[in-house]
Amino acid sequence: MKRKKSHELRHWRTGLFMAAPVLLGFIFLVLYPVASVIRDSFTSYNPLSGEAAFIGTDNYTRLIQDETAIEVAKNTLIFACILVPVNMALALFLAVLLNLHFKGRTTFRAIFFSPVIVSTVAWTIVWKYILQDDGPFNYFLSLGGVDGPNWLRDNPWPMISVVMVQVFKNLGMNMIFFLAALQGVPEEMYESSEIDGANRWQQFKKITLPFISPTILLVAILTIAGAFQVFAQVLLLTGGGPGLSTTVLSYYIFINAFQIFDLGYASALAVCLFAFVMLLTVAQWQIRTRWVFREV
Amino acid sequence: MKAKYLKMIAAGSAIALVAFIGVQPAKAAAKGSITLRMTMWSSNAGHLALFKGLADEYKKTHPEIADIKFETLDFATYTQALTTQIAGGKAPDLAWILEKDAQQFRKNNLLLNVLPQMQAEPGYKVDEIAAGSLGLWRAPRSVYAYPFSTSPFAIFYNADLIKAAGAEDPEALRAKGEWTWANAAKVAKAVTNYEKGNYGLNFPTFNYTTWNGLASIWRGFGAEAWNKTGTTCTFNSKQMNNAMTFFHDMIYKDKSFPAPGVSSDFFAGNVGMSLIQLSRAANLANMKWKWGVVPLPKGPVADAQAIGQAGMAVLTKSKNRKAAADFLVFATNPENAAKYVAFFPQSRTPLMDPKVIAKASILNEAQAKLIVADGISKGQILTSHPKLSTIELTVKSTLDGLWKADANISQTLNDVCTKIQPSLR
Repeated sequence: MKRKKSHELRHWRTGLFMAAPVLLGFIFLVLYPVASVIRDSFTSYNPLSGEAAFIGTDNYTRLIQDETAIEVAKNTLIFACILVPVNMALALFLAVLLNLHFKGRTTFRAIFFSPVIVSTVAWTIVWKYILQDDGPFNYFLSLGGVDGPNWLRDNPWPMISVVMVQVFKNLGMNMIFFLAALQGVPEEMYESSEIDGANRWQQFKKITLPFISPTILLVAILTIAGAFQVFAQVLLLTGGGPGLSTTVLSYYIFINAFQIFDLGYASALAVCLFAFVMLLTVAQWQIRTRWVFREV
Repeated sequence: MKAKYLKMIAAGSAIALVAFIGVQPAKAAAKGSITLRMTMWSSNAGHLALFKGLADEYKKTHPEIADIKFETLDFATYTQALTTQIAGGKAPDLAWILEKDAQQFRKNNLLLNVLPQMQAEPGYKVDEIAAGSLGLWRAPRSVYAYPFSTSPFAIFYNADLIKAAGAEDPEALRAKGEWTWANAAKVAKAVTNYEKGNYGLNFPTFNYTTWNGLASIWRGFGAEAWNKTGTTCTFNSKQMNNAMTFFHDMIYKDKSFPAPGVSSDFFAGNVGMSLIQLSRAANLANMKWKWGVVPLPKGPVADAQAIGQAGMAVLTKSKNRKAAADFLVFATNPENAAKYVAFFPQSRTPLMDPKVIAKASILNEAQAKLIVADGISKGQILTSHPKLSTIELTVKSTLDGLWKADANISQTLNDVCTKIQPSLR
C-alpha cells in the first residue's frame, strides 16, 4: 500500500515537473496579469504619476454611465457582426474551391495564405495608402468612371474598410483550417450519396457541413474572440475616427490607459471585455451539442 | 582546529571588506557604464547630425558614458508613444517635450528640475534665456526643461509656383500691409490646380489630428479654445465660428487646402504656401525653386503670431537622472546652444540677434528679424492645458465632424464645448 502511494507520488511529481514550464508560463503570463487588471479596476491608477487609490466600484459605475463606452461597445458589436460571418463564409467558400482538383491550386492556396504571414502593421499601412482619398483604389475606380468616396473618412466606409482589411488579413488561416477539415471527409460518403441521387448542394449540406462542424466551431470561437481584440488596424487606419465611428473597445481601453492615463478605468473596461468574450466562448461551447455533428 | 582558523580568517576578511566599502567615498560611475537615450520627433539628417556631434563631444570628457542614443518617434503620435514608454517602465533618460504637454508633464511630476545643474555649470548663464520662453517650464527655484526651439509659425511659400499662377507674391502683399488671411486664401485659390495636383496651402503638422496648431489661424480671428484660466470652453464663440468657417471654405469650397486623406508635400514643389515653423524648413536650402517667407497673415481681429515650443527635459523616471541632467546642461550651454541656430530659433538673447540667425540659418537678416525676432516678441505659445490628455482626444474626435463638405460648423463647435466643459471645471 505504502509502495503504491510512493509510486503515485513520484508519478505526480514527474507530471508536475513536466508541466511546470507551461504552468509557470500560465501563472506569470496569464493569471498574474489578469489578476492585476482586476485589482487595478478598483483603483484610480495613473501610470504617469504612479498614483493609485482604492475607489471601490466607482470605475464600474462610471462605465455604465459613460455614453462613449456604450457607443464604442456598439461599434465593437457591429465590427464583430460583420467580420465573423464575412470571414467565415469567404474562408469556407475559398476552401471548398481550393479543395477541387485543378492546375495551380497550390499556388492559389499560397496566395490566399500569404497575408497571414505578413506583419499586421505593414499590411495595414499598405492598405491605408491604397484606401486614401487620392490613393490607388480610387484611381482604379476612376478609370471605370466611378468617383470613389474617401474610404477612411466618409461614413459608413471607414468601419467597412477596417473590417475588410482585417478579413483579408486572416482569411487564409481560416481557409487552411477548413481545407484540412474538408480533406478529412471520407470520399465514400460522397460516392454512396451520388448513388442515392444526391446533388452537390445536398452533399454539401448533409455530408460536408456536419463532418466539418467541429472545425466550424473552432474557427467561430477563434474569429469571434479575435474580432473583439482588433486594435492595430483601428489605430493605424483610422485612429478610431472619424468621430468615434471606428473606435472599438480594445482601442478605447488603450486610449484610456495611455492617452488619458486613467489605467483604473481602462482596467474596468478590460475586465468587462474579458468577461464578455469568456461568456460568449462558454455559450458557444455549451450550444455546440445542437449543431456539432461529432467531437474530435 | 583548521576549520576554526578558516572561520576566523573568513570572518576577519568579511569585517575588513565591509569596513573598506564603508569608508570608500562615493565613486564616479564606472567607465562605459551608462547609456543615455533621448526621444525626439525629428528625423531630419541635420538635426540628428547636430545631436550626434554633441554626444560624441560629450563622451570624450565623460568616459562613464558608453553611448547616447537618439530615438525618433512619429510626430503625430509622439506624446502617446512617449507616455506609453513611461507608463511601461521604459522611460527614456531625456526627451523632447511639446509645449502643449508641458503643463500636464509637470503636473504628473515627470520632469526633473535641472536648475541646480544649470547654476552649478560655470558660464551657463540661465538669465540669458528670455523669461517669456521659460514660462511653461519654470517655477520658483526650478527649471524643468531647456526650450531649445522657440519657433514661430510662418508662411513659407513657393514664389515660382505663385508667380506662374498669376497671383500676387505674399511678400509684396505684406509690404503693402495687405497680408491678410482673406488675401492669403485668394493666393491659395489661384495656385490650386487639381489636374496638376497643386494645392494653395498646406499645414503638415496639423494633418487633421493636432488641432491645437490651428491656433495659428484662429487667433487672427480673435478666437481661443478656452478662457485664460482654462476653466471655460470658448470653442463655441462667434470668433471661433468665423475662423473655422474660413478654414472650412478653403478646404471644401476653394479646395485650396488638401482634404483629409489627401497627401501633399510643400518641398516637392506642388504646394503654393506652407504653414510651418523654421525648425521644419531646413530642407528649403536644397530647393531648386525660389522660395520666400512671411509671418502669419493678419486676421479680421488681430495680427496674431503663434509660436510652437519644444523643451529638452530629463525625465524623473530615468535611471540615470544625474548623468542625463549633466548632458542636458552640456548640450544647452551658450556655446552649444549657438549650434542650434541653424535649425531652431533660440531663446538665449544673444542668439536672437537677426545677424546671428542669418549667419547660421536659411533666412536672410530681414527675414530673421521679421520671422524670428519679431515673431517671438509678438507671438503667443500654442494652446496648452493641465488636463490636456483628458480633453485632447474628445476635441479631436468631435472636430472630425467639421472635416466634411456639409458640416454643421456651429453645431460641431457647440458639441466640443458640451463635451469638454465638465473636464475644464
